[in-house]
Amino acid sequence: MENMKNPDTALLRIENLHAKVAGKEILNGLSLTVERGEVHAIMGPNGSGKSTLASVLAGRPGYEVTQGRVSFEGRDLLSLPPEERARAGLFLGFQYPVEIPGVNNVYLLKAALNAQRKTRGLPEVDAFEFLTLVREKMKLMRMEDSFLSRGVNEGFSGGEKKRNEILQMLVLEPQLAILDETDSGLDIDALKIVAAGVNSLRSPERACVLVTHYQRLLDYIVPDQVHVLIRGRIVKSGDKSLALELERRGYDWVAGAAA
Amino acid sequence: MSEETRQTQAELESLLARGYQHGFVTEIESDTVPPGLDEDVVRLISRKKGEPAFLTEWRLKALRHFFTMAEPHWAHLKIAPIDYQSISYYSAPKTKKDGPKSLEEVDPKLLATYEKLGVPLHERARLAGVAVDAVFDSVSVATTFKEKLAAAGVVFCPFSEAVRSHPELIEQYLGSVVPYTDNYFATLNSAVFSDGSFVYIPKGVRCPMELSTYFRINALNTGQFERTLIIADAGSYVSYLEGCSAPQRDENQLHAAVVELVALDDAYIKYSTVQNWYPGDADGKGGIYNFVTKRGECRGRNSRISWTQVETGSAITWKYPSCVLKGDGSIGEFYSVATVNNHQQADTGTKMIHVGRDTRSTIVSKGISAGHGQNTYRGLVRMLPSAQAARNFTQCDSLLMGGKCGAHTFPYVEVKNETATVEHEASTSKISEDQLFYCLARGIGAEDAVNMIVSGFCKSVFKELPMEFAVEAQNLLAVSLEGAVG
Amino acid sequence: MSALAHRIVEESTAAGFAGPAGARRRAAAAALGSVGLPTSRDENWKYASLRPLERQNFTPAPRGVTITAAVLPAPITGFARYVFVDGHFAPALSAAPGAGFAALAAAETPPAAAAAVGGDARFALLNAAFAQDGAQLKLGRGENARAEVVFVAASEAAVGASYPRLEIELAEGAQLELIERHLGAGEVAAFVNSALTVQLDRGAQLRHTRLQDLPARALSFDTLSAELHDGSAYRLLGVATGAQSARSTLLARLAGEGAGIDMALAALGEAAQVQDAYARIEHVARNTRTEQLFRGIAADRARVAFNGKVVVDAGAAGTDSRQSLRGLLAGSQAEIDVRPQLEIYTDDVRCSHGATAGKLDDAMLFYLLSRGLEPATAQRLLKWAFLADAFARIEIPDLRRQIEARLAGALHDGALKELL
Ligand SMILES: Nc1ncnc2c1ncn2[C@@H]1O[C@H](COP(=O)(O)OP(=O)(O)OP(=O)(O)O)[C@@H](O)[C@H]1O
Ligand SMILES: [Mg+2]
Repeated sequence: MENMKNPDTALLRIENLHAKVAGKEILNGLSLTVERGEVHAIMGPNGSGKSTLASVLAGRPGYEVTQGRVSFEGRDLLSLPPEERARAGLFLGFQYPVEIPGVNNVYLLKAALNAQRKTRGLPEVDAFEFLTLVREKMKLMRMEDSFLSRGVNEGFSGGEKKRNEILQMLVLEPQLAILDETDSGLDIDALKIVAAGVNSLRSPERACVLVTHYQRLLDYIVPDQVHVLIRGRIVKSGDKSLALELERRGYDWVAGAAA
Repeated sequence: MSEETRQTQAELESLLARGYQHGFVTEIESDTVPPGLDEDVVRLISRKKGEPAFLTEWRLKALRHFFTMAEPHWAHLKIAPIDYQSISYYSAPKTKKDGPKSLEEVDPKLLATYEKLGVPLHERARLAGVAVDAVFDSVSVATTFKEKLAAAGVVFCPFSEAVRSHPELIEQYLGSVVPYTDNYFATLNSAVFSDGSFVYIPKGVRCPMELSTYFRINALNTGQFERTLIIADAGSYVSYLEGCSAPQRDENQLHAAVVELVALDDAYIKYSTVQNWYPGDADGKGGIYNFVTKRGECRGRNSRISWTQVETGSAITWKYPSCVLKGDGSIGEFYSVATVNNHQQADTGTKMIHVGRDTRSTIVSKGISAGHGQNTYRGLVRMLPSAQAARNFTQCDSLLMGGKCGAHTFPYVEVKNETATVEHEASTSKISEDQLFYCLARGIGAEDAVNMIVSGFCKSVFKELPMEFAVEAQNLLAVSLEGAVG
Repeated sequence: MSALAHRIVEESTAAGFAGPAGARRRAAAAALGSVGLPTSRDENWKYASLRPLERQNFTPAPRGVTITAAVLPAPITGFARYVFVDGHFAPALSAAPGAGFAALAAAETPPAAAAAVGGDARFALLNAAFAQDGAQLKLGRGENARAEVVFVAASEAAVGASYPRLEIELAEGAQLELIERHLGAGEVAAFVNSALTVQLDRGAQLRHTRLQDLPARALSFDTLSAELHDGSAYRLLGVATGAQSARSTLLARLAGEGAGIDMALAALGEAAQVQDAYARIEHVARNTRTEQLFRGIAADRARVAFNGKVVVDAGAAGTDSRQSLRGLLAGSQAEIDVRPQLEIYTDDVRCSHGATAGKLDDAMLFYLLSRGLEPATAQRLLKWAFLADAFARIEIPDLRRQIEARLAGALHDGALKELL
């Protein structure tokens, strides 16, 4: 009701989210608000529900929301099928990007971009323009041309898959990017490249949620807020110094404080 | 082949020659009907067992149907012709009165036989806690732990007794999973079955102990046709073990059993078999023809039937313990180790028929072939149009030891529902020389090395067996296979 | 003799073939008469559609049906082309003959009866009993050729049956790149029974692409028998999209040491189509290799079946064989049947197979949706990728484009075509 009087200005607002996977409650009462222009980092122990949150937001089948609401740009996100969430500007960088042999990497990029343009009432992208755009972004990601003609993630190394995720993000220019451990498995140079990619997209309109286990990424992409997710809810939030403190003291400290 | 492996092989081949250890004959006076098969024999069997009319009629219908059937022919089994008229269809140990009423009345020679077999028949036996129904030739001789089971409401008794004490259950369930028209051997069994075990687990009861039947063929020229029926009512659980052995004889003997399982809502039946019938000698002479029909029906929602088998014996094994998954969410499982050595032939596998939605099945089959043995896995996974979101996974591996044996894999995958998924994987190879050499290089003797590798190969099946059986199975495997590295 | 077999013998007698060729034909008909045609009770025929045979007219279609070049696919650069209409050579539509080609009617050696009598090769006997003409491709030692053989079914089944026949013999070290096509002139309800024999001498190499794209009412049976000698290599790629009901029987013997066969087959069934294939590969000699791949999609009410059997004889030590068979269901009444079979009589082998039947991978589908693709597009894309395992092996660019266009058409996707 409140929203109707004062339109929600937040890009993403999650309220008391409960979700089940395979009959098991994984998220239980998670709330989080992301404003435009912000970068949020979510940290938390293995199995605490970080990827589950990302999957629920992206609309992965098999994840059942039992309570709570999520609005994205003021719209009810949970009522949209996954492809419409994507076209509305929500991007999920997968923790484990799937390999799709036989589907061309560049074809997927083009199809995804055109699907988005269509929803926005824009004409299909011109082939030449498209290639120029992709090549430019690939240069940024230090990816060779040959990746374009390969199957999606097919035979890519762990780090190459992550770079490919960021490449897609750069081409699609989402309003909100949720990057699930995009930094895991990257070598030091690649980490910088990925960070540069993410930073190149930062703007007052867009926002980014980084799921990570390491403070190091946050040296390159400085977050506005850091959240600790434990057993399906956010138990502590703070500024970037929280990440440093977590690195020193581990999660038991927060878990103890939260209990 | 290196000199070392050659030596290993020689050593192992000599070990292979080690004989069947259960091949003794018990001298017992028995009551055997003359060989032959006709309506009079069937009536005689039924009369001897004091059966109600519906059962006699059912047997006769089966017999009449049997006479209209042709013996099946299989491309992959070499079978000496069986003369069904020369078999005696009933043989029972002779007793003073109608049969033993308690353990004390059981012929001590018989008890000694079971002792030799290692069957925990007696309450004081080593493996106390296992309730045993022992079937000797065709008749059930003793059932232990009756009282404890009765207190839980569990019915576990010889089939012939159940016919008298629970005729309504027999009439309702007999032939409801394996109809008397099912196949040649099941039909024959329906006509002439002599005994077997009957189990009923009431609603919500977890059977307080493992139930077990030990089968033994003793008499000469007899066939054994036992019939087992297990009904697990809603929410119940039972683990059932079956063991088999037979004396060493030069003639082939026929064993055509039928096992029917019914699992109602949320019930779980775990059925384990260690089959060690006499396999025949090194030249393929003698041995049991083991033609068995085993089928379970998951009738209830979320019910589960799990078959685990270790098949080391018999000259010929032909059996496909199967599951009909009717109840939504029901689960069927089949875990099998089958070994063949010398001239043994095994044609075994399973059928998983998915009818209900969200049904799941798992098949794990490990075949080991040595000597001139021929081992065939034959498995059907069928997803009917109603099997929404059903899933199957099959893993089927074969190990070959020596250049004269055979390993064959014949799966059938038939899917008629677009939301169902079937995955089948199989591999066939000889025992790895690298693994073998690795063990030898660590000072492990060839015999032990092979045992280690083989039991590693079979591990995913053995772990499904109840503890007591897992040990026996390992030992049997070692005896039946030790060796033959080519 | 069954009524059907009896009728076949009578029809072949009535066809009145003369000379030594006639004698051979009659012998084939008699042999077929004694073994009969298979029924669905035969293990290896249970998924095929055999009922229509009972109403079939087996007499060969007459010569002289004319078609225009317009029905033919665009020629492939660098390939000699030979066109047969209802089994009769049509020189006017063919390009200048290259090395080793002879139309069988004109050849010195008339069609030989199929070597494998009975069993699974019974339809080859039917072909031997009726075939009028066909192609022979014989390459001498070390020779090299590229040829395209196009079989056009032009007659309605009521008028007569079509018996394409192709005999290939490659001498030591010879290399042939072959394209074999089966198509129809318009929407005819044709009966097509083709037979193909392959002989590869030591070190010979055959690369063979066969496309079955017969009209939607056609009935097709084909038999391919191959014999491979020492070190020879056979690469077979098949794409079956056509016919009301098609059954392919592939029989290969790896008779020489080090011989290898690599087959990849894709089949697509929609409406009420039946696409059935059986491949039996026998490893006879040492160190022989099989690589077998099948990808089938069944949509609507179609049935797509593949039965692949690898037999390793006692003498075939060192055998290496791999089978990957996958079926995809894309219709609520569709059916997929896959049977990867291994029959092994020696221990020095490495054989494996994997088979799956089911729907599209959920994780892949979600990935594409999460990038904003329409569900329908995402599904078509994944089906395409699924088939690509097989057809991506085509190395002739023109041909690959043609096949991709055909498959994109079959998946009803303009977008896929645009991507080519
Ligand atoms: N499909 C599923 N079936 C059963 N349990 C699941 C499933 N998916 C997730 N879970 C469980 O949910 C919990 C949360 O998983 P999730 O992947 O969200 O953790 P995470 O916080 O991302 O961990 P990590 O840091 O290791 O990536 C885990 O215990 C996991 O095992
Ligand atoms: Mg995670």
